[in-house]
Amino acid sequence: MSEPGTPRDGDGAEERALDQWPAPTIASVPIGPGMASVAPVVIPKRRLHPLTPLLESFRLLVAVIVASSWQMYLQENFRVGVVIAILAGAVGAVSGLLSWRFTGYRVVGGELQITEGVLIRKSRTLPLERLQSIEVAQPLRARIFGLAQLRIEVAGASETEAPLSYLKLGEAQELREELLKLSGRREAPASEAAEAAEPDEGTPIARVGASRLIAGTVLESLPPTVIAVGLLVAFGAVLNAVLNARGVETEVWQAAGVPFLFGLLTSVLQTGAGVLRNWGFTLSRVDGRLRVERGLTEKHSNVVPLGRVTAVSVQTPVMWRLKGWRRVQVSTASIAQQGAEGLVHGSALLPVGAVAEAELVAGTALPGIAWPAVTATLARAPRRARWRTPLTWRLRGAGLGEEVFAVRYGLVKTVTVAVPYARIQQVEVTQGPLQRLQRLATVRARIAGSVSHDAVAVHRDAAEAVAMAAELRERADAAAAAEEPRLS
Amino acid sequence: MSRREHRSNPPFDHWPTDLDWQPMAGDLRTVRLLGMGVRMLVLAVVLAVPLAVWLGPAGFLYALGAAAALAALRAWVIVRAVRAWGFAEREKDLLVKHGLLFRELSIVPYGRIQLVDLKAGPIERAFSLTTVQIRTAALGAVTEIPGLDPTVAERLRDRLSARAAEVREGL
Repeated sequence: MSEPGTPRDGDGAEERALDQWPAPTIASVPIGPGMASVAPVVIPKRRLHPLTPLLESFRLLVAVIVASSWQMYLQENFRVGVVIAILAGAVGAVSGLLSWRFTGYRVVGGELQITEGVLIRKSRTLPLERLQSIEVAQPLRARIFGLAQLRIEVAGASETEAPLSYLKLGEAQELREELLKLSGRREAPASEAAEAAEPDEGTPIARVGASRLIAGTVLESLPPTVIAVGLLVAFGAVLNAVLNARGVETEVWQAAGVPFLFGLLTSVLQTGAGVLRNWGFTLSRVDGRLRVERGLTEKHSNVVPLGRVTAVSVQTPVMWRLKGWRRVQVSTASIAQQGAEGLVHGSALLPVGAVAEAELVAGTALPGIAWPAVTATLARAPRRARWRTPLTWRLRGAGLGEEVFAVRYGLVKTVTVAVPYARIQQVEVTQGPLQRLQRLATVRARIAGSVSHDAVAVHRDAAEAVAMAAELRERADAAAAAEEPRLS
Repeated sequence: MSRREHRSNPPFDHWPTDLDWQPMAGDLRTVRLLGMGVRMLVLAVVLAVPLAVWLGPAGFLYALGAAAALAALRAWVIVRAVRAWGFAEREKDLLVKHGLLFRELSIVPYGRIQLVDLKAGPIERAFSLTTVQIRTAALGAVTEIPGLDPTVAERLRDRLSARAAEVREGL
């Protein structure tokens, strides 16, 4: 019996198939249900910590207690409050226990599998080779019990996939190590030995002191606050004057005062939250990975494998120029970082630091690259483009560095983005009608997952723009070819 | 390259290598014009009702006239815009240019392609045309090649996916 599909079976059919489908190569990996049974179970199925239901329903619990005491107060009836509390508590406990009972995780082959749901069973599979970063977070309520959350970012996931909460802190850290090891297996097999020799500590790269953190956060939020307050006051004054001119006795000042105070309060609270979030910020390098530890009330410990960095940006909010301070952020292919949440906390490698520190951190995030050399490549757009962006023309720039494409923009917050050539997904050249009259064009280098970290060189000379795009493409190919093959 | 073409296509004539730009099928113009016609008809109806209520029967004429004028303008733009579409396959990447007022040139390396889709709307299908959509891992960047003959589109898709499998590059 001849196997189906061999040329002997029918030359005509084979030729036709080839003609229609010019030999797409399909990976020689078994696909389908057979695979799961073949793959070795690395970590057998485990449950979350039994205290999980209590912590998960922490807010609910507080709400119930508040509501029942309110009822007691209103009705002056002690029994009603107790009944409400007991009923809510019982419902919460049963549902919490059930959901805990049905939630579990295991690692099979190169995948983390999470199952959850009581009525609707849900099973998620996270391919670890697409893992971008793992964070161990400890909210205050979890810290009391020595528990932690594990937040896993995967390429292409629109939100933080699978926050495994809650695990014992030690267990969370062990699991993170294990997952990182599994994810890095393809990338750097040689480095694993080095890691074994030098365990958890790593080499510290940057620390942020309390006074600098507070000063930096306040200085950053100062201009927007002042502008908002100024606008509000001006608006109130104008309104007041207009109404007075019409002979209306008004209390506009009071009316404007409330939102004014409210805005001021939120701004202050946000600044305070920013300080708490980055309290005790420490960046260290643990063998090919960057580890960030931060937080006062809620402790975070985030690990980003260096190979997953798609772009590095160094930012200078306008007031920081007085002090010469910088912030360093990285982006990875995880889309979750696009949210306000991620951009604020997830990806900062240095919330505030001196120029030298920022350069050191940026150089660490992009190995083999000296940041001063990157900024030296930045060149301004031609003078005729000046009126298009009159305030920022002077500081805008774009340049092809040795290994990165760098772009600088922004007045209120000056940002320099550097994208390694190997991380460029696709390149675009655009030209609007006005640009066309001026023979200008815009070049955009897109990176995976991101929109905000795309490197965009605005209003370049048209010829230069096209040459730049061609150069970007060539260098991207060369850089990708030099890299070890990897799947994500 | 003729002088006229040189002037009509400023960003692209600087491209370093000579490229074999493939034009879109001629029917694409008809498809686009028909689609525009339908939209203009809807617009005319939407305009006609309040105008007729306000001005009486003359309102219909105004609405029709406005829609017709707009349609003529759009038709002129569409005819030229369709001519501006083009794609070229190079050794390692695919180039797509389009746009008349706002010109755009997208360069998609084969190694970064994640997904190739074929798509055809009702009017497109009536003229047996197909659109090829190409996605990379970059968010919000869908590269489209509209108005291809279905067999050409399928061939293109197969070539693209085969090459994407040959040179897989990371994120």
